[in-house]
Amino acid sequence: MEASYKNRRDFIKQLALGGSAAFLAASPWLKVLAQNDSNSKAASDRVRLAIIGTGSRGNELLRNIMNYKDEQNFEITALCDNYEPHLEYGLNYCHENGMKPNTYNNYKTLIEKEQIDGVIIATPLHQHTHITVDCLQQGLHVFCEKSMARTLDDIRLMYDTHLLSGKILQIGHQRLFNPVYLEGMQRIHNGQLGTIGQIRAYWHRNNNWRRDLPNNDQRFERQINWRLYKEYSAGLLTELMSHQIQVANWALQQTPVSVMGTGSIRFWNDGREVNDNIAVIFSYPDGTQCIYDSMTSNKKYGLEEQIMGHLGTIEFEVNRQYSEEPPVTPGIQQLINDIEHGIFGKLPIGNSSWVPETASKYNGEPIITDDKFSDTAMQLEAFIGFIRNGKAPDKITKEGYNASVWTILAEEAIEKGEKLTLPDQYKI
Amino acid sequence: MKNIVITSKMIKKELLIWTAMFVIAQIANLYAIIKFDTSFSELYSQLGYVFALSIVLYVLLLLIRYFYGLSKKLLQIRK
Repeated sequence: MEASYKNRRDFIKQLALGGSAAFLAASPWLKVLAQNDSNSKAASDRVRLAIIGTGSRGNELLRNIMNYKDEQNFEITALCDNYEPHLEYGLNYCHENGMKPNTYNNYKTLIEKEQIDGVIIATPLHQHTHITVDCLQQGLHVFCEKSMARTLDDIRLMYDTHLLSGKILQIGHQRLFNPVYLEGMQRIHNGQLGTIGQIRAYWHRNNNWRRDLPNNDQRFERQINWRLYKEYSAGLLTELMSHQIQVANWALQQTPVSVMGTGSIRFWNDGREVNDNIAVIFSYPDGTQCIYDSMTSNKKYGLEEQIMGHLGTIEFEVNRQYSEEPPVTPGIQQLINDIEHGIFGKLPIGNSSWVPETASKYNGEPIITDDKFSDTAMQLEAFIGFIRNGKAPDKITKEGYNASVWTILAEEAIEKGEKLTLPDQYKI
Repeated sequence: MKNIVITSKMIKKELLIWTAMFVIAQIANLYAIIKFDTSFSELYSQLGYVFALSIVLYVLLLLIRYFYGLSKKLLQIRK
């Protein structure tokens, strides 16, 4: 059942060449990735990039993209951040990797002065829209971290500007490039799981989600801990759930028709404004339900997306597929189990009239054999490839768009306590 | 110090006993396939399991033989 591959490029090529029409229609970026083995060293082919926002995520992206510094002909020509320590960290990392970018504390100066092909935006959520729009209008390709924006209007504005400018707008949903997800999606779209009835997804953590302030200076609180304030973020929804609703949409090849939900600040009463636990239900046109929850005061179940069909289940995060009819245990093992139970088993006094329908203990099969890779790095490699081609499949932007609008709508549903549908002006 | 001599006859005997255990384990495998209605391919796909079972049976028999020999010796001493 498990798929194996020599390396990620072989795997992508294998999928792109051998995938079914349904699967390739659902993941059209695969074809572009399969062609992306240009390793031209010509200076004219060098992709010049800038990173706007070199905080924790921006620097993570920087570290990941450097994985390809010998393989892909690109250069980080500029870095921008309005917080000096972050900018310095990024600059030092570039120096260690033989790149000497210019630094800026204002992105507008950067895009006016630098000769670049594309930008990677990893600023706090509420800043995504104006930076993205300015970059696209300047003729730059944009990779913007998820979620797209803080409001539905801003998300729409980003999408429309992308269409008008004709420039790439890729949103940072790295699972789109993850071999486990790609192989799993192929199986789902080929019907291996049967009819999908429910998707269950969750992301549980047990921490306060706070970052340390420099010298505990409270003036930096909102700048550093922006995820905790509604002005800048929708908290668990935009920072975590947006990834998983994207997976659900991708698996079902639909977008929801409605969302309802609830949430509260149950545990971290520390002045934050965003909920520390939420529960949301998305309904899809074919009747599938996606049940989502997230919390920050218990991490036993971690994170997962469970795609549940009448023939089987896929759990992407743990790289496993479970058939509804698990493989039969070999006879000899059954015989020995029976003997063992006969000797050591408990003697029932009377038969129970009901057996609890607890979870199956069947451990399933891995979806792919080798899952040691960085999907964050792979999405950046793809961005470089898209820039070199001058275009990316529009579906990749749509995946980000749909995940983002339904994330913001979920927040509205929680706040209003209503079941909401997407207003027509936000449908694409 | 007493030298322990393992003769080729002894080795042959032990190998024969283990072979018998392996055959018994494989018969148990065949019985289980029929009883639990599983695939006959398990006759070779489960050979590793059968091998492990034959070792367990061999060790069990070895213990029985040891205690049998020991009790026999004790009885002879009493006489």
